[in-house]
Amino acid sequence: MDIHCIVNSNRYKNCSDWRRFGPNTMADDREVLRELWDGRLPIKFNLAADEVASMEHPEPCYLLVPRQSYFPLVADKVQRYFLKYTANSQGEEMWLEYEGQPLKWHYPIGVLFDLHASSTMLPWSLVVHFQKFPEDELLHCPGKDAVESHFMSSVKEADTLKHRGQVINGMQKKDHKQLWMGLQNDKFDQFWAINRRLMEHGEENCFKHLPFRLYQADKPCIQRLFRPITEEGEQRLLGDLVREVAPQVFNTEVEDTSGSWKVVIQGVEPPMETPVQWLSEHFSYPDNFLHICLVNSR
Amino acid sequence: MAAGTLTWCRFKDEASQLLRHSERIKDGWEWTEVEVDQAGGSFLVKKDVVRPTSERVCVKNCVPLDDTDVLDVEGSMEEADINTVQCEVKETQYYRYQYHVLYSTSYCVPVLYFIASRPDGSLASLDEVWSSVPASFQSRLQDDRWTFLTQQEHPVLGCPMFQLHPCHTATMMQPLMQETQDEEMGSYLVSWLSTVGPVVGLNLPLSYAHIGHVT
Repeated sequence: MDIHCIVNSNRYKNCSDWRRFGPNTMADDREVLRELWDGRLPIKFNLAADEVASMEHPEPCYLLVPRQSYFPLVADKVQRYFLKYTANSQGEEMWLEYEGQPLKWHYPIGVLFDLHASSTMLPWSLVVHFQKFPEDELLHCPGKDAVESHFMSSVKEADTLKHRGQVINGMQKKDHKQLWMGLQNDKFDQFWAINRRLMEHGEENCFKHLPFRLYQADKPCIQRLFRPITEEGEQRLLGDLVREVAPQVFNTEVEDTSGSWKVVIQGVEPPMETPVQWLSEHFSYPDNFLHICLVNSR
Repeated sequence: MAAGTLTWCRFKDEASQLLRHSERIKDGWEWTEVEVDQAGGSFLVKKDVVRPTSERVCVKNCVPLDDTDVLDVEGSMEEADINTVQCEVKETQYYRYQYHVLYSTSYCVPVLYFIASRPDGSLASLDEVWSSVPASFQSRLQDDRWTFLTQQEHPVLGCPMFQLHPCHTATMMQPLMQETQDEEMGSYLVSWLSTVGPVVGLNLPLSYAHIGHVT
């Protein structure tokens, strides 16, 4: 069980009547932001057995990593540690695998865990590779510049959906840098000083569209246009979104999926009655997208 | 619709115009439907575009032609070092490109994705792709390297591809579309593709210029 899950899962169970509450102010729920930011995952890294070139098999190495971060930002140490046990003289790129599944570095670590391993025992046990990079599945990561570029383009896209890009384009370059540095150095205040502007909404009290991505193992992720309120001005709920984008979750007639799906965001299973606007403001990852994982709990 | 953008419907209409013309001149554009009826779920594909890429300089051992003695097979192994000279040979590599034109529902603009494979079938790296960007574009794009061309996940297929980043497309297309807005509706898709395509070796024949015009 994910530690994070235990901490957070109870808190959101009894808030079914949010539709009436209207928009919360950011300050009220700052604690939620902080709690999610501080989410950590203990990870055990092992070098792939067939890549060990030394006499002795190296001991595994352990790290406690932020859920909000990306593997290339935290795995320097792992790379340095294992490199001396491999025959990797070419400086080939390191990549990670979990139970045969290569892990996409451009997804936040928390998303990878929720998607592939949410029912696993902790620490999360990963295999480190330096050979046979699966280039038809993984993006190359030439360095932290690539992570920054990926992160910033997600933030830009999210703001295009939320505010037609007006907030992000109105910022200065140093503000963009501050967002990135806040994430990279795990500085909550530094990050949120800028990010709060990206979470503001105009007179309509909601974003134009909801920046979300919905993931299922072995399928490309789904991204659609979705408005956070109905034409009558009523808040749309997580259940509405899932019903529209992944109807199989509610389709109990189909044998192989009957009632066996979990909808996981940030390690938590939020109630289906949660307004998506609130989720977007509080449960989005630092890239400003709400990453929703559909997990088959069979 | 914000200036410089286009709707999914117009994207599909223009794509079918483009396909009809492509059919006529046989230059190989196809339409791929993955998620039918879903905005952005279908896209244009052009495969098997072969283009010369990075001239690789390799060092080869050459036998001087005028010295016929060294061609004597017996004992030539030992003498090889003495009797051959090393020369630099420029070898042009031919890479096979595949282009996809998708519609971004976030930016409401078309987006160009592509992959390039080496002669042995393996995928070309970002550096190799950059090295084949024409020099005139290179110098201008150097500062924006990371916001212009990156490897991204294909939004429909999920596999890694290179992407020309869409966030400046609307700004670029705005003045172009204003000029053609009134009587003669030019094709947004053709104007855009003929502007950004050449950066990564995708050239549209001039005859495409006529397809957008309403007759």
